[in-house]
Amino acid sequence: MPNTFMVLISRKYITLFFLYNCFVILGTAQSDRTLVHGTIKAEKSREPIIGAVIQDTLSKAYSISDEYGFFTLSLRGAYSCLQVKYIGYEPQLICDTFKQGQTLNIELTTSNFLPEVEVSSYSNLGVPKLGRASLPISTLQLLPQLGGEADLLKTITLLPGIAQGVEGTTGVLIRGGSPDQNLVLMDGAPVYNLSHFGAYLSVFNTDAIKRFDIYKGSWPAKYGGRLSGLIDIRTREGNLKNWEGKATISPLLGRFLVEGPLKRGKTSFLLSARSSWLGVLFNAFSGEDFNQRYLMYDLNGKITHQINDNHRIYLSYYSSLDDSQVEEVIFGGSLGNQKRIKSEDAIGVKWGNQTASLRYATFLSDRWSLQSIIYYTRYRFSGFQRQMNLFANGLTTASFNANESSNQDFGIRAFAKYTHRNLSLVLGTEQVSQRFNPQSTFQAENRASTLLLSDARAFQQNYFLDMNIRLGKAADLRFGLRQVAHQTSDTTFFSLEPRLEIQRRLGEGFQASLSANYGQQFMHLITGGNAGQANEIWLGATASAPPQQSKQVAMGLKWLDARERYEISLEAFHRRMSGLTALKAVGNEGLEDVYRWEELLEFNGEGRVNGLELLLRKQKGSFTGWLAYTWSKSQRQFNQINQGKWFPFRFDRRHDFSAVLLYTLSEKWQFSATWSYQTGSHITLPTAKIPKTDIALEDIFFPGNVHVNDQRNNVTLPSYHRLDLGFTYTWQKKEAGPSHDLSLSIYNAYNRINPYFIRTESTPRFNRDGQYLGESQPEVVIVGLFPFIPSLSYSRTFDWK
Amino acid sequence: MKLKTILLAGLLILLTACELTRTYDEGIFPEAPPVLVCFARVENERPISAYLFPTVHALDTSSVNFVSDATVELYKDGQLLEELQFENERYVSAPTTVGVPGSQYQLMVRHNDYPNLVSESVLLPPPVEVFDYSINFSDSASQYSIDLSFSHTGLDAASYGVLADLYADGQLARDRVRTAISAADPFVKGDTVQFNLILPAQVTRFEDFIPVDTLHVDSAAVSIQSISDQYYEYFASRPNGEIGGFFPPQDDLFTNFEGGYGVLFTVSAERFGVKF
Repeated sequence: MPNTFMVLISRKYITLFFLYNCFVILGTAQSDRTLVHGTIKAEKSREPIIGAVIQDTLSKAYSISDEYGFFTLSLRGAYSCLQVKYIGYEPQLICDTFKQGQTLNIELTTSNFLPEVEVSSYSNLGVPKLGRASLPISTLQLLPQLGGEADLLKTITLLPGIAQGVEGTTGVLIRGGSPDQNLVLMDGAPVYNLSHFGAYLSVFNTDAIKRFDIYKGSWPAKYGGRLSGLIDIRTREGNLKNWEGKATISPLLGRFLVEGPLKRGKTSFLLSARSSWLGVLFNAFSGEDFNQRYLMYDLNGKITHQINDNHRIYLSYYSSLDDSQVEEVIFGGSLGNQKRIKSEDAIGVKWGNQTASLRYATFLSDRWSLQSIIYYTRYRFSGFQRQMNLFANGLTTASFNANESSNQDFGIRAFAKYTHRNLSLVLGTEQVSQRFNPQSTFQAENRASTLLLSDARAFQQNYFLDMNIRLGKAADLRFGLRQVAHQTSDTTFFSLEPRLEIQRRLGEGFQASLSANYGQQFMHLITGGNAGQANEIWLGATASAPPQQSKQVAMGLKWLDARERYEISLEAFHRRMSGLTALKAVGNEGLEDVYRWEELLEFNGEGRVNGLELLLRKQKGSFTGWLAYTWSKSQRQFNQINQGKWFPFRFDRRHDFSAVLLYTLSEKWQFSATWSYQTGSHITLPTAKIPKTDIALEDIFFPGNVHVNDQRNNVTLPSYHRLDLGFTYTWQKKEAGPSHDLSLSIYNAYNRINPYFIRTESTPRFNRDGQYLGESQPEVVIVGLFPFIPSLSYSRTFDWK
Repeated sequence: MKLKTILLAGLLILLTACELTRTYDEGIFPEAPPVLVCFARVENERPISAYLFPTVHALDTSSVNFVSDATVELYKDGQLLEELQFENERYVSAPTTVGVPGSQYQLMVRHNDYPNLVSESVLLPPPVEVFDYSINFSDSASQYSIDLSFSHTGLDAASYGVLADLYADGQLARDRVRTAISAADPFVKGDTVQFNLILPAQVTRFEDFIPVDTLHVDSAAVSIQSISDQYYEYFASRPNGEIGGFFPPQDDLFTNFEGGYGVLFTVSAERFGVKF
C-alpha cells in the first residue's frame, strides 16, 4: 500500500513538474517581446507556402509556415530583420519596426537563377525531423520513371527506410512494415487503394500535389490508426491571380491541369485529371468477336475560398477508377457431347477511390487557430464473370458471378492550435464511422441464384494532444498523446498512444534526436500484394481478429553544413509489433474463396524490426542528389506458421541502397539518373520432396511427389538492381510565354532481369526412336517483369492572363 | 494513317512485351539432409506392413528408392511385438500377426544413414457393427442394391469404405468392387451410418479384350473399412505442387512420425457374407 501511494505521489509530482516547467517556459515571456503573425504565399499564384522558414536574424528565433501558410513569430523588441526562405524562391529580408500583433502577408517570388534542382524540402531549422522525409515535387518530376509518368510512391522508395514491395508496384514498405500499415492522407482524408494499372502506377497526380511529408517514426498525435508510416499529401490550391494550365502526354497517360481565380484574390479553383491511352489502344484492336475495354482515370478538384485573411475554406474532391472488361464470342464448337451454336464469355474488374473533404481554418488571434475537416473516403473493388452457351438442340446455359468488396470512412477531425513563443499546443478530436464490406458475392446459374453479403461497422473516437516546446536554442521537445476508443459490433478496444520526440542541437549544424511511440491499427488487409492485383480487402478488427500494435524507438544524428548544401543523417530504429495478420499457407487456390476470409488469415502474429538508415545528400548547386542506404532486419512469428519459430518477413530487405543524381547542364537541359539495389525478397521453397511413388497398401493409395515446405520464407531471391536515366529539355519560345518540357525516361537501362517470381521448367526427353524417356531435371527460371523500357513525354504550360 | 498504325503497334509492343525470363543455376533451392518416409498400415484382418524410403531433393525427378536395410520394430501397447521383415519392397509382420482392435501400435525405425523414425501410437478401433441390410434387385439395370446400416465410429463419413468380393458358383468372379461414401452428412444419422452398395448381377470375363464368359453373381463378401483420420490428414495437407508462386504454399504437411515423414494409420474392417 505505501508503495502504491508513493507511485501515485511520484506520478502526480512528475505531472505537476512537467506542467510547471511548461508554464515557466511560457511565463518567461518578456514584456518587450513583439508577437507578429501572418501568412507566406507565392507571389505568382498567391497560394500559401507550406514549410517556409521565417527567422528573426537578431534573436535567431524562427517559425515554419503550416499547411495554411500561417506562422506566428515572437520578436525580441519592436525593430527586427526577418528573413523568409523557401526552396525555389528568392529569399526575402524585411527590416522594420513591428507592432504587437501585427499581421504580415509575405509573398515570395520564384528564383531567377539558373534552375537548380533542390532535393530537400527541409531547412536546417524547424520541428524535429527525425524519421521524416520529403522531396520537392520538382525533383519528383525530373527523375526517370516507368512509362515516363512521375510517381510519388515509387520515388520515395529511393529514400532511406522506405522500400519497394514487388517490382513495378505501388506497395510501399516503411521501416519493415507492410503496405497496409501506412496511412496515406490526401488533404487530410485517408486514401485506401493506391494503384492504377493493377498496381503499376500510383493514383497520385504529381501536377496537383503541392507538398508531401513522410513520417517513418513518431507522427503528429492528430493522426493515427496505422503502425508504420504516414504519407501526408497536400494538393495545390490553385492560382488566385491568373488562369493557368498544363498538359502532358506520355506513352501511358495524358493529363492536364487547369487552375485560376474564380474571384481574384479570394477564390481559386484547380482541376487536374489523368487518363490512359490504353483504352483507345484496346478499342483499336477489338473486333466483333473479341472486345477489350479499359478505362482509367483520376481526377483532383479543389476550390479554396479566403473569406478574409483569417478564415479559409477548402473543398477537395478526388476520384480514381480502373475499369477493365474482356468479352469474347465464339461460334460453333461443342461442349461435352453437345453441339454448340454460340458462346459468350465476359470478365471484368473495376476498382477505385472516392475522397471528398471540406476543411475550414480560422485564425482567431496571433496565438489561436482552429482547424477542422469533414471527410468521406471510399474504396471499392468489383469483378464479374458471365458465360452463356446456346446449343443446337435449343438449350441454353448461363451463369453469372459477381463479387464486390468495399470500405468507407466518414470522419470529422477538429483541433485548436495555440502558439506562443516557445510553445505550440494542439488539442483536438477525431470521430470516424467506418464500414467494411469484405465481400459480397452474387452467383447465378441458369435459374438458381445465391447472394452472400458481409457487412461490418465500427465507430472510432479519438482525442489528441500535441505539444511542441522549444527549450531555448538548444533543444526541441514534442510530446503527443492520442486516446482511441474503437467500437465494433462485438467489442470495444481502447488505446492510449504516447508519442515523444526530442531534438537537441549539438553544435554547428549537428542535431541529435530521439523518439518513441506506440500505436494501434484497427484494420487488417488481405491482398496478394503483387503486380496485376488490385483486389484489396480491408477488414475491421474484431474480437477474433484483434488490432495490430506497434512500439518504436528511434535515434538519429544529422549534420547540415552552414550553407545548407550538404546533409548527412544517420538513424537507428527498433520496432516491435503484435496482433499481426498473415495469409495462411493456402496456395493460390485459397484466395478464390475470400468470402470466408477469417479462414484465410492467421492472427496474433508478432513482428520485430531493427534498422539503420544513412543519407548523404547534396542539396544545392547544378549537381545535386543523394546516396541512401538502409540496413534492416524484419521478422515475423505466428504460432501456426513455421512451427512457431521466427521467420523473415517476405520483404525483409537486408540491404537497400539508392543513388540519385540530378545535373543541370544548362538552362534547357537537365539530366537525372537513379540506381537502386535491394536484397531480394523472401519466398518459401521446399526443403525436400517425398518422391513419386506408386505405393498402394492393398487398396489404399499413398500419394507421393509431395514437396516438404517446412520453413516459411526460407529463400532469398537474387538481389534486385536497376539503373534508370532521364533527360529533360525545357524551352520557352517567348520570355513570358508557355514553357515546354520534353522528357526521355529510360527504365532499367542495362536490362537487368529482376526476379518477379520463379518457376521450374523441365523438358520431355526422347531416345533416337522417339520413345519418351521422361522429363529432364527441372531448372529454375527467374521471371522478370520490366525490361529496358524507354519512354518519351511532353508537357506544355498555358497561361491566360 | 500509316504513321498512326505504326505508333499504335509500337505502343502495344512496348506495353505488352514486358515479361522476360532467365535461367538461374546458383542452387536457389535449400539443401536438407534426407530423412526417412514411412507409409504403414495396421489392420485387424491383415499383417502389418510398412513402406520405407528417403526424401529427395525438391527438384529430383528420380523414382522412389526403397530402403531394405533398416530395422523396423513394431510395438503393441508399449511392448515390442516383433521386427518387421523386408519383403517385396516393404516391411511386413509375420502372417499371423494382425491388428487387435483396442490395442495401441507404434513403429520405430533405425538406419545407419538416416535419423531414427518414431511414430506416434495409434489406436486400432473396433470394426463397425452391422445393424441391418436389405437386398433389392433391379432387372432392368441388372444390379443388386444393398441398403446397409452400421454403427458410426465417430469418423468422418468419407473415412468409410465399402468393398465387395463377388462370387458365382463358389468361384471368385470379381474382387474389391468398391464404393466410397463420398457425401458426408446424408449417410450419418446419429450413431448409424446408412449406405447403399450397388453391385452388378453379372460379371463378364474378358480374354484379350474379348468377352468369353458371363458369370451370374450369387453371393458376395462385403467388407466395411473404417480408415483412421491420419491417412486423410496427410492426404489433405499435401501442397499443390506449385513452386515459387506469389502465395506461400501449404506448409503443414501432416506426419505422425518424428525424425522424418509419413503416416502410420489403421484400418478396421468388418466382413459379412450376402446371398442373392
